[in-house]
Amino acid sequence: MASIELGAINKVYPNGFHAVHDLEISVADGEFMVLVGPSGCGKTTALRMVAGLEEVTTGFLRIGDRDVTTLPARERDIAMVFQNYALYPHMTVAENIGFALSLRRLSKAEISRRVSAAAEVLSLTEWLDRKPAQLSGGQRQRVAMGRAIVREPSAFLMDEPLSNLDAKLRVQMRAEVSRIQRRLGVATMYVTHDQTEAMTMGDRVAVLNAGVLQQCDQPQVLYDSPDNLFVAGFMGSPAMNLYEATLAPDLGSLGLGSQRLALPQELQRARPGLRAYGERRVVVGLRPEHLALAAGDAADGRTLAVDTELVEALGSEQLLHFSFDARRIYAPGVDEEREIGEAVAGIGVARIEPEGQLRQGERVRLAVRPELMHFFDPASGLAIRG
Amino acid sequence: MGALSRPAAPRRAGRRRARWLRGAGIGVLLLWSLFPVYWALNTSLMTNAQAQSSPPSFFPTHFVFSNYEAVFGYGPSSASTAGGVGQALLNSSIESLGATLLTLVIAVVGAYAFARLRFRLRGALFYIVVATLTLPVYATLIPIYTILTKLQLVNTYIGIILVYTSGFLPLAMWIMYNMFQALPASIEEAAAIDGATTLQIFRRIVLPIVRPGMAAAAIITFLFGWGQFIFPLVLGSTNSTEPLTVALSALAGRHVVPYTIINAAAIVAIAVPALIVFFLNRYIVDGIVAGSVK
Repeated sequence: MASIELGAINKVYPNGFHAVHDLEISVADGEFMVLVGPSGCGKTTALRMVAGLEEVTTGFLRIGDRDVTTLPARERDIAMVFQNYALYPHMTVAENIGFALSLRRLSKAEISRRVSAAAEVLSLTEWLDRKPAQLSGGQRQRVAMGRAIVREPSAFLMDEPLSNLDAKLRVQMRAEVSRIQRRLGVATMYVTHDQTEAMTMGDRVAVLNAGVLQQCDQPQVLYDSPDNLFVAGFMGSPAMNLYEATLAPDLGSLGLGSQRLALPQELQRARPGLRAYGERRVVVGLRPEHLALAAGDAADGRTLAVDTELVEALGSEQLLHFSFDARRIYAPGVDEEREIGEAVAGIGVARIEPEGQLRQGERVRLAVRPELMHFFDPASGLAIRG
Repeated sequence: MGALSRPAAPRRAGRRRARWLRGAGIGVLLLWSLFPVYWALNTSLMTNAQAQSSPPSFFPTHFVFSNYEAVFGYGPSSASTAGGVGQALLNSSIESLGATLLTLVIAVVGAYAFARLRFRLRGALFYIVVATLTLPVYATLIPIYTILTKLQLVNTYIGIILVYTSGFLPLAMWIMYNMFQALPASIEEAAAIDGATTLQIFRRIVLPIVRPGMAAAAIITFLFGWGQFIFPLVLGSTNSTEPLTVALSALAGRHVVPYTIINAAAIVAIAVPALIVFFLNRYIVDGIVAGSVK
């Protein structure tokens, strides 16, 4: 067991593509670190460098107290779970799990004992004599896990291990992978593009975009105080609603489209950084769950009038898709179909109580809690705090 | 119910007619390709007199095996073949098996390099190798003869095996290349992480997985080798290296060899590939399909 440390790692491919920029991450012994980001953000490249499947261009890599930067994969004492599982199709489940042990020339009895123990943990005992082709997707995934845990390695690397499973099984395996990781207490790097997996599984989450680390912290911290527009837009589902807004010179109110919201004095005290933005444009972020239906229909500075576009009833809650005349901002890199920073008609989503039925086109008022708003600089995309 | 079932009758009749037509078509094809073989088998089991009777008999009235004895140099009529067919059978086997083995080794190693290693002109080189498949045999016959003469390999097993290998390698390599392409790189990466060296990965992971492709390449190469005629005719002009195909055609011209014995020899020549295809056909199909499925 050991920690993993990435020191100013860069990856530049021979064709000049700079996939990873000065990546600094350290995973403590026993910690579950999730690397998350949209496809092509460099997260898998980073993981493959740690695994030794990809050369490090510059920077260093340490596992435990060993510098492994130039060590071949087989000498790094790590285990990896691949997205396609990469099981050996000609071997039985038992042979798949025991392959690494047989390479180390352990005795047959020892191999069989450890394979059985791993199979027990993963409920694979009755499938040990099967070939991978005879197993379901979920079982194959567990064999891949078994192959990793039987080694008792210094570190686990997982590359989107759940993305080939159907939605229900994925939720189930999410919990199972977390449980096994905690039980074994091995430093783990887990790559996913799914922010829900990142939120639920990681002790800490590193958010990457275009090869650059955006923020690395506990999931709740990322959610509650994102450092920039990218993290704000990426973490959370439905995503944070981001709009262009103008602050009044005295910071007492905020113009959102043709409407105004009053800002309390406490907000300025909590975020002194806002003072520089009087009479300037900012980007405000409103989480869907921080919006609620409000009674009455008069403009009172605490609510926004919006038009109902669509209501999705999820049983425990409803998702109200609405529009109003503020400029919607999309976080660069999050929504790939959009142009970077493109502003379109002010659509948004609110998470509301399941009671009551709204019709399309109906005008409603949403209560906004200014203390829960996020503010970003429109030019740099950085959060405005203190 | 009654109204609904009424159109079913003509449809069933139509289906029956289609099935009958298909059966008839297949029957004609089978007759076309198998009748000559049957005729050879039929003749090989007759006495010479019976074979030349008119009208011809479509079935041997009593089976005669002396033709086969003669083919292998036994019995009263063996003088006519000079026992050459037995030697030719051995030559065919040595040359086909030798070429198969050499082709397979080079194809597996070469295709793996083309599929997995990055080197300059990789794509171009691979396509040049495979493109030689389109060269007509006769275009290379004379140059190859000249080369082998200079190397003093005319009329040797090694010479013929080398020539066969150069001819069959592109197809075998293509089959193996497709196998390696279909094999996800992550399987080899997983083995590397599991602690395997490059050689261990190749031996314990890659080779067992591509075995169906190797079987297909080997069988196809062997069959090609067995059927060669023009190259061994030119490159091996004596009994010592002459394969069955050449020996057979020589039988017809060399002496007055009974028609029945020639047919017996032909059946011997056909039997080997026929048995291979009959029993190993599955591997050919598996190996060629393996790359394309999934």
